[in-house]
Amino acid sequence: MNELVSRAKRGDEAAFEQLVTAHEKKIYALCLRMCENEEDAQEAAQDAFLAAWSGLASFREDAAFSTWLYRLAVNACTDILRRRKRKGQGVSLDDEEVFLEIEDSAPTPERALEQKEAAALVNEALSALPDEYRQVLILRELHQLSYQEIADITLLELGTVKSRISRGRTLMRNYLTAAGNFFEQFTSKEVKKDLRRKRSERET
Amino acid sequence: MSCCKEYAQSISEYLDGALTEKEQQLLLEHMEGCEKCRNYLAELAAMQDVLAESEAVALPEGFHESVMNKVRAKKRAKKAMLWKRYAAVAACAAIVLVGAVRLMPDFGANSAAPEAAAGGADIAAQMEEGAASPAEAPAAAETPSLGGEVRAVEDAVEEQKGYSYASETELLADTEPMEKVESEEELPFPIVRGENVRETLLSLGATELSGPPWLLVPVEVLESLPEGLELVGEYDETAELITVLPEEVAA
Repeated sequence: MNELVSRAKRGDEAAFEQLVTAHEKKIYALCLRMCENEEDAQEAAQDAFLAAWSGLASFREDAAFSTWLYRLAVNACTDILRRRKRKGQGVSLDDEEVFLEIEDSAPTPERALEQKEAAALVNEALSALPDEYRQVLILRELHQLSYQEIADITLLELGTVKSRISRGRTLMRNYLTAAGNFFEQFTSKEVKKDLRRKRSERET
Repeated sequence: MSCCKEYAQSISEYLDGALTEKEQQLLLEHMEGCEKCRNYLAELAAMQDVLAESEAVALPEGFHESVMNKVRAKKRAKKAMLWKRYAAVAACAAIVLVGAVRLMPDFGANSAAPEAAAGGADIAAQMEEGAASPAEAPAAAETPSLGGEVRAVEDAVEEQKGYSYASETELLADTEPMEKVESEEELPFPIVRGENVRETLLSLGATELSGPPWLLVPVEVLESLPEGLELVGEYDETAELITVLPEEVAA
């Protein structure tokens, strides 16, 4: 990859094309998540790659190319989001309103959600988040980036990244609790047992 | 459950495997006796699992080609600029040549002089407008292919502005590597150029993006740039921070 970056820096278009091929899916997916419509996502992703091509000459190779590209994409998305001031978010998860007390979610006797429905619900919760929480959670949960990488991309302090991720999760969790019947199937005894097993695997 | 409020961030970090051993131990000890925190962890984990399994996004058709076309168009625009420079130089040379011919009647037929002079004036007028098609001027007959090239390239640039790539593949067939992209109007971000531009902007409150050359500049700084700094391109005036490409130019 470094070899490709060096070649692209010297103006080698074929090398740059390979870099585009390697990163375009992730970058577009990120932009789509952030902009939440295809047209804006395409524009943002395209801007990110063009900015990379224009700025490559001064890209310092001690930084990871993908982190840099992510940052350009996040910037492009932020620009677009600012421009169109996201209109009415379905359910407000405003700061003031919720850090709900963490209460037991009352099990409801409804049918278990299918995987698809569950996914739709979680995505709805994510998309209802204010941008500052949504951004870090997308990078963390959908792109599996580390706190440090997210800090490098968003130029936030590490502490801010951690607290935004935590807060965003609380807000999402509250949304899902309010929506009902999401958690009971995932917090059933079997799932809990499974989670405990996963956790202990992770710890060892 | 106020205890859970305190532990919420630890639980989140625990889920990401980001706690130190000691922090983790403290959290686990707490959770032993706190069912709500255990539930909270389980719920966050469930959300994480579902999100991680969210289906992959398909790239929209034509995305890759569109990006690469624009990359090539940037090169093309750079070439067009170079051609314009060469053409301007050629036009200057033509004027000098015409002047020389006029001053040395021995070397030019008397009848040819007025025509040549008219050609020179033509070129001068074109240059004032920044136009660069010397082939249209009769006196610039030494560079007949140049004007055609310039027009073809200008067409390509025009086309690229309209995002139409119908014939671009042919037009862009010859793309040799180059050292720097200079296509100003195609940059997604504005450029600020001048001497010590980076330092000046930083001293005015711009933020550095580590790695790339970009700076995040407060919009009010862009609105009243100090003398010696020039803004090229457009920016969103409603935004608070503008991503800007600083370009160092010696005074």
